[in-house]
Amino acid sequence: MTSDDSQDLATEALADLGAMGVPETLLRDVPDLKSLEGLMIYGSRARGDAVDGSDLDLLGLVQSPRPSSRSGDVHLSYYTPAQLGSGVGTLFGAHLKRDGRVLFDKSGELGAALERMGAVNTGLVVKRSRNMSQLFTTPELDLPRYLPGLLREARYLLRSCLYASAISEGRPCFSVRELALRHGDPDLSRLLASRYVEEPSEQDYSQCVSRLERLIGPLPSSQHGSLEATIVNEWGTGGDLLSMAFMALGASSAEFDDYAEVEKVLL
Amino acid sequence: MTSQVAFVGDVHGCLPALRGILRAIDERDVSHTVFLGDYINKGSDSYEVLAEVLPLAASGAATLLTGNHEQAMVSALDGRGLAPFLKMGGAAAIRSYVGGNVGPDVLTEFRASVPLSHVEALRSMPETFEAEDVIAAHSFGTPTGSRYRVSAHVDVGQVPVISRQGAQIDTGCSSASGRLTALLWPSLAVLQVDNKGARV
Repeated sequence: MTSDDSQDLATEALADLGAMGVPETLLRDVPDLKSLEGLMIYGSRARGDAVDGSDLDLLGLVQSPRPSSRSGDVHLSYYTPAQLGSGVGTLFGAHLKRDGRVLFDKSGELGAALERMGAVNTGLVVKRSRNMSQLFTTPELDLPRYLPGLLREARYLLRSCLYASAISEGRPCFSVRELALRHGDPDLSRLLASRYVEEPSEQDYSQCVSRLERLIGPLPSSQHGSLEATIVNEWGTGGDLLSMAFMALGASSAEFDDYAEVEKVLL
Repeated sequence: MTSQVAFVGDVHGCLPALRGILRAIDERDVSHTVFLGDYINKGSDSYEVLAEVLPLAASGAATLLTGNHEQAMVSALDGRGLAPFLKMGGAAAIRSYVGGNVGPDVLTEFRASVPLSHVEALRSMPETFEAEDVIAAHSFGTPTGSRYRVSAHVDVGQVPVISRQGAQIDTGCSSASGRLTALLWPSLAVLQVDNKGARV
């Protein structure tokens, strides 16, 4: 493939996004796409239920890991074929397969990876979430330093487990508002809103953790006694627990997934 | 031939590579060795690497410049937060100093396991080495002056980047297929070893 061909694909992709209703103001913030092997759109802009101010979520296929980028409301995550492979059986993988739309796919690898995503293994989602939720059992040491990161993760695990439990009940649902109605729990909408803009509070953190506990049972005790000790002691293992602990240190997603030794967590 | 200065790039916790490069330098007519910082993290031997180079500095045979990893370690030990150090991979150095797993209060245990001599050395590492026609630092901001500039910090791949104005000698030691590089001045001869310390 020549660089001219790559430029043509990138130009066509932007035109396709425009035709899907993505506003020009967002398209201006899309980074250079020429180096990508494949590109897809997912999330609300792909489903067609975006509202004013919704993000544009893009996924780029690359050959070696690189940090995701955010420019304005445009979020471009880079995945290698191996990283996408770890999405098999996950909510993320199923979500990509269901809602995503491939914009270009030079080698066919992106489409092939989506084909392999398959059904969500809800038992595994809950099992992995339980393991990671041990990070919520040492709040006295960790909340003073890492409340924003831990709250973000409590929200992520609660949302994932709610989705998984809806699927395993045979009533899949990926709308937080709908789940709030089903559970008779109006606060869920606020706690799990994709644009949670409130100042992180210990109260919201406790609300999420107690709901998570009701959903998946008592959380396992921390193996290492604190978030920092979890990172030091799990260093080099490459598991979910390390990734989750590392990401709780905070900062932007671009900063933490800059660290290639720590893998993404795909639930 | 007059004796030369050796500049050594980021070691990042790889003791076999450090020992290999020191052997290679020993075989040359080198009067002084300048390490460009980032002795710690990534590899498993942060403590051992510093323990190996500190006596060289004490004897006057070497100059140890500071790197961003050392500065973050000092900042963590000073209580300005462990998170920035952990985010750059400080867990590797903490494990090396503590000697394995840690208990819940990581900072207290880390502080207790770093010898005072190491803390003092880390605090007093200069940022630059300057001679008449060459200047070295872990990294440079804006280029100034006409002296030859030797830097590290940015992994440039297996082969150092050497131009007429300067050289970049971080060749990814401790990373997969990385190497440790020494650049001799003024000849610009390059010595390299792999992560096991074998000449390449």
